[in-house]
Amino acid sequence: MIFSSLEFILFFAFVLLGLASLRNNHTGRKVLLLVASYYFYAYWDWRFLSLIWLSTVVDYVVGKRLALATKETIRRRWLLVSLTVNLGLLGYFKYYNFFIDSFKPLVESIGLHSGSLDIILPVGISFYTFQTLSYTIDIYRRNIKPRDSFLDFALFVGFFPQLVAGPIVRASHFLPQLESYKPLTRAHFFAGFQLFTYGLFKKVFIADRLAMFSDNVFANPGAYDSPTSWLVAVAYSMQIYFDFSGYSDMAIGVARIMGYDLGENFNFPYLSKSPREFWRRWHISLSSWIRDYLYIPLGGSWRSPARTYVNLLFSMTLCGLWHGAAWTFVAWGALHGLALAKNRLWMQNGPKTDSKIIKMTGWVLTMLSVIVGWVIFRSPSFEDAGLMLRQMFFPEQGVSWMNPFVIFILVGTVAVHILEYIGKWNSWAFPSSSRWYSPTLLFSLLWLSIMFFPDGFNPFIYFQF
Amino acid sequence: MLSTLFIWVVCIIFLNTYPRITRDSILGEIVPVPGSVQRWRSEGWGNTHYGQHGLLAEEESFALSDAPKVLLWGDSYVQSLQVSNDKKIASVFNSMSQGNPYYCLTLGQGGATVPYYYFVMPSYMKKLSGIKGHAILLSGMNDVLPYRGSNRLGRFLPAPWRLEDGTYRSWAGPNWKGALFGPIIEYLELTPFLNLYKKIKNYPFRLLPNMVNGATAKSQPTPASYDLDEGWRFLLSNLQQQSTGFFTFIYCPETPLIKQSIVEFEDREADLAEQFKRICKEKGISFIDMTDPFKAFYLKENKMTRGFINSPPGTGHFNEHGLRLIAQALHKHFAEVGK
Repeated sequence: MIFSSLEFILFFAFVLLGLASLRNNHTGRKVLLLVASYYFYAYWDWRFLSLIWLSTVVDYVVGKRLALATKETIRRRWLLVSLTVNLGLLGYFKYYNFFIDSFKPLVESIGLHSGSLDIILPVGISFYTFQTLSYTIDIYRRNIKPRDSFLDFALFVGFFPQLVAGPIVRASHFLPQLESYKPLTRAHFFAGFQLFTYGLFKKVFIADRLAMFSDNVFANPGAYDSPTSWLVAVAYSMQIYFDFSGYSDMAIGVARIMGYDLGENFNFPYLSKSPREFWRRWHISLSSWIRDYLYIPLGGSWRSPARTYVNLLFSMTLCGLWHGAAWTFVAWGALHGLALAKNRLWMQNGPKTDSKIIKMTGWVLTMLSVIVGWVIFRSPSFEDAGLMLRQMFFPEQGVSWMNPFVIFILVGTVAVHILEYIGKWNSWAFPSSSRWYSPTLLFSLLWLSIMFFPDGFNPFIYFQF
Repeated sequence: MLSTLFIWVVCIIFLNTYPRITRDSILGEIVPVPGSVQRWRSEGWGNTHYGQHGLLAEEESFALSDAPKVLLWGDSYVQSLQVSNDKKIASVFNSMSQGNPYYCLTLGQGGATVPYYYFVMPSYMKKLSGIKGHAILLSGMNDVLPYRGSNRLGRFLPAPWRLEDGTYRSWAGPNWKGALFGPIIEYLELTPFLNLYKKIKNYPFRLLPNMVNGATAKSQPTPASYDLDEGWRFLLSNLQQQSTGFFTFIYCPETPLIKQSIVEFEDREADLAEQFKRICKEKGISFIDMTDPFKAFYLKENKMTRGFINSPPGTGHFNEHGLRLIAQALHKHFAEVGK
């Protein structure tokens, strides 16, 4: 079930009615949310609910055992159980065919038979496995205590607003929220509805319409001239941002309506003046997960400079692989790893001044590496990415297509970013409910999303991850 | 209230409209209501103004006179809603010919194939004077292949070869709701809201849990084998019986198009087109092939004949370049050959 479908609106209306009817019944509400969450997932494919249940039961038990065990070796073994089950599921469903196909010649050279399997990628598996892993790892590190209530833990894993595409919520952030009763308030409703509407607008009106342009150009890389190739690279950069931040806004908005806080997932990443800053603003819940559960355990920046660069490169390469089972995703991650390493080198050896020229140059170079990265990310193969990049940097003759909608969105996006840069965006775009133009603004966005709703099903890009 | 007003204005500027249709009292055929305007925004940017008898507003003056004229038949490629009236094939043709040797009248119907023209043609032949011939635009060979038409607009079927009329022509007129609300919706520019209502009404709701990859493709019925030469001889003979005027086919290939990153000039329907051309020649019917003019235009101008600023180049309907090239080819043909 996707947020921009009529079924979801109906489903959510019933959930709200249910919550309202269970006034002051905290446990009843949590049971309702859990059942609703499982229905939400089963709507896509009920068979894969078993994977969520397996992950939930295993990590609940592991969490308890970790807390009880005192010997380090035993604790490590229990952590290994959690890692094996979760990463095993992820590895099998998401990466089995990728590795078999990638290393087929090697496997067959040592006399083993290899063949790819017809495996369906369960929606959201990358998100909920990382989420439950954070729980067991945090208990192992003694950062949090295990949850006694199985209901609370199951709801933490399966909470429907963030179940299929994040944000990846930490147990330390979400579980305490389940301890107290969450009243349905007008303030929560307005704030959540506002976020949901912005998210819907970003997804339906902007991202889906940008996709009509970028899908066509990326289907024929190298056929279009240089300005068109640049325009599509920028269009896709905007599309993936509006698509995923739109989804996040909707998820956070839906949770907020019910009184829960899922944190922030995007904070104007295209204002970043360095790759480091970019990853603090883009998919915040994933980048902080990678930092806390991969980069830092590897040694972070506390060991030798060479080791730090290796850690950065390794972490970001895995981050790329998390996004999809293809070498283009790995290359995209590695490119960001290199950019972060270069950034670190600059911070240590470059001038310490912070002039406007340096800031501007930093922004231009960051955007350039991000845009080039998205071209690799979007392309189905390195050959296609090469053709697109060739037209961008070493142009040859091609067909021109300067799509006016894309240019309009580009101008609008630049304007919004300027407003954010000068600190005006939030007060203009998120007025309080008492401001006269607040309902007009919200309903105009809603109307635009409804009237320009694209025909056909356009899944969220991050659903495939 | 303000937001509704805002979206109403936005819709008027940016969304398509569909004009009401009516049964023309003289022709007895279904046509757009005279004076109505069809706005098209999803591909290209055009306003089509309709006049009497489903013709374009500009064509009314010479349509009703005795001036020599050619009827230009076709589907949405002749309708060309994506551009305004002055850029459509007939308008460009008329500005070039100024009635010498003929004027051209637009008779485009989205989704139509040759069987539809076959059934509608007699009505125009009877009521309009000065019709010297017919030009039929083929936007692909599907327009003359069996099984490809629709139940709505007529079909061409084999075993035995026959032409079946569609349900569209027998439409009895709007029901009471259409008659009551149609003019109001059109006058107040509420078509987008009506479309939204229809979309929601026809929304395929599913509330039960699902299994992905569960569906299997339905098997398609195997079409009966047929002899195309024989079928086309049948089709063209029948068409010629409907009118004493001459016939000219204009074949427009899909090419040039962008395929696997290269601009493709090879028409995959070239053999079929050649076969059809041979049968046309047998029957004394002219055949204009636009393959070379389209290719030459691209090579010279580096521009596609299909696609608009808001749609992918090389796909969809003809843009103003494509339409102009067709009008020029038609004009050249009539100037040189006469029919």
